[in-house]
Amino acid sequence: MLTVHGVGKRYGNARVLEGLDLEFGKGVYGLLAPNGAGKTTLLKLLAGLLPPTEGEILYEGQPLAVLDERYRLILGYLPQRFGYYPNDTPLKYMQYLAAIKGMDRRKALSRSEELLDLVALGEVKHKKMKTFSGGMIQRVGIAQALLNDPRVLILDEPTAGLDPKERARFRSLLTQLGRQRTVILSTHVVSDVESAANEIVMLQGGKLWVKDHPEAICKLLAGRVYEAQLTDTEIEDFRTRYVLLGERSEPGGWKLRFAVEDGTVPADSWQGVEPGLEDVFLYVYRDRQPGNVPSGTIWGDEVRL
Amino acid sequence: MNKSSHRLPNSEPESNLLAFLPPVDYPSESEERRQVAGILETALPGRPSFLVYVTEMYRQIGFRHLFRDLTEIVFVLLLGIGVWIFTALFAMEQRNTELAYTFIFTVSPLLYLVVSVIFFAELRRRDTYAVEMSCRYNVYQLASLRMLMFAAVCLVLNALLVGLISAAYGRVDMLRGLLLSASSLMLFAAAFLYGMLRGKNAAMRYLWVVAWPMLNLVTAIAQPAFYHLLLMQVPLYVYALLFAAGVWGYIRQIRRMIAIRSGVLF
Repeated sequence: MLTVHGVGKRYGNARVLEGLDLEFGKGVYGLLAPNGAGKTTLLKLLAGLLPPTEGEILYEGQPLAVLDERYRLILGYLPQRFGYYPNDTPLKYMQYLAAIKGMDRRKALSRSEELLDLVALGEVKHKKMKTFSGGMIQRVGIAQALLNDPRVLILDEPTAGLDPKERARFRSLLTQLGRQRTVILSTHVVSDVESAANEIVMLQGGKLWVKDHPEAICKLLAGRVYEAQLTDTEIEDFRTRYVLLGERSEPGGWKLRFAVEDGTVPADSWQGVEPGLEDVFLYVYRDRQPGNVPSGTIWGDEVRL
Repeated sequence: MNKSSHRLPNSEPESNLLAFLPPVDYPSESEERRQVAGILETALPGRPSFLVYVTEMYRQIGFRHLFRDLTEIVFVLLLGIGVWIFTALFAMEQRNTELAYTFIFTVSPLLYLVVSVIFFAELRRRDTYAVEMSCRYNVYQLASLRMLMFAAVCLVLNALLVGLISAAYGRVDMLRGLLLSASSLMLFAAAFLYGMLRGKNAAMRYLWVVAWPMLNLVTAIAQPAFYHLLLMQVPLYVYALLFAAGVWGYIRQIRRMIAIRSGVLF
């Protein structure tokens, strides 16, 4: 169990995170927030790469600072910007990382090969990484994070650069991984976590806004998301009155997906739809200006939109 | 003792019973933390000794992974040796024994310096930092092991070069030359690493790199008699002690580097 207790982080005078209290057991946790909301900072704190300015992070009841090397032994981490040595082959790089992770050399070779096969890079394991695409590098990053069969796996935007097929493959891998360990990943691609995550953590102004099951979060917008077919003239009015969640061009006009304020009486032509996590994300973080608090609010223990 | 004397009268309401108890001084939060840290320290397995730790680290990582940039290191060392020999030849050409000792004392840290500076510059530049920091042996632990080995290799190379000077230029005492070289290298290395770990900006971190030759040069020019007395007349055991102090200081800095857990230095 990874426990975040009253954690805050400042960079100079800038407060990035404040008063976070979280618990992560076995399962997949998706960290959702717009860019600059402190996702990467929180993941670095959880990985022990940054010390919190206030509060503490515990693993199985012991502070990360005390566990130190013993925590890194059970940690797998993929940074947002995965660095590599361009002249290395993925196999050589994996073996290097296995060595500094303190793994047995014979095990390191077989494990590296096995993981490169898992991320579909087995056939290019002897090619230099400088010839790789962004997606291939990202897959090396995912594979290295699994090298030591970690109990805590922290992935910062793991699907960046992956094509749709690779994303689907990754989601399936994620579900399997979450059965036996704590997996925490950040993303701003909601579909990456909607089906795979057991719980979603959303931050707001550096504070925790909500941590719950995806279905429970979606219910926050239940009965308030609609689709409607509109003409060019009607669409501008909708844009100003409601929260736009999606639009696509159709013959003779537009199909709009939007959310309304609680208590709005829907028109007959509107079609009510089930809200998805992406709808909640777009609603909460709509028109977010620096310094402005997004539209979600917390009333005691209750989260409202 | 009568067992019943430990019992409180149970006819009284609980709140009244508590009033008889002496007030309890609850510890402050910092005291609680200190005590918890003490309990953990006692309960958790202790850190192995420095020697055991670095030996185990080397065994697990291996030479190939520790010196993955071996080609660059060898190239830089060869370049350093070239400069060393070139300046040594110049010093010997003057047929001046004092100059030869001055040279040995001042230039001995050169090899260590070039290898280390290039290593630290590379450490900041590369973008593998985050992923390496999350590994069991993080960037600083790897760096400390490398710095330890750099110092050892430079001690050996310096000894060979001093031997060369001594053989080629008969008036340099081999033992004095070796002790001068070794003590200057280790004192420089300890101060260099101290600056790197404690310096708040680049100027402070690299101050010693400029200060060392300047200090020697200025003393040699301003107070030649005193400087040469220091190099040629001071008993050898003093240099042996200086060498030991340098090694102690260096190991101390290496241990500090091993303990770094997070943040970007250098």
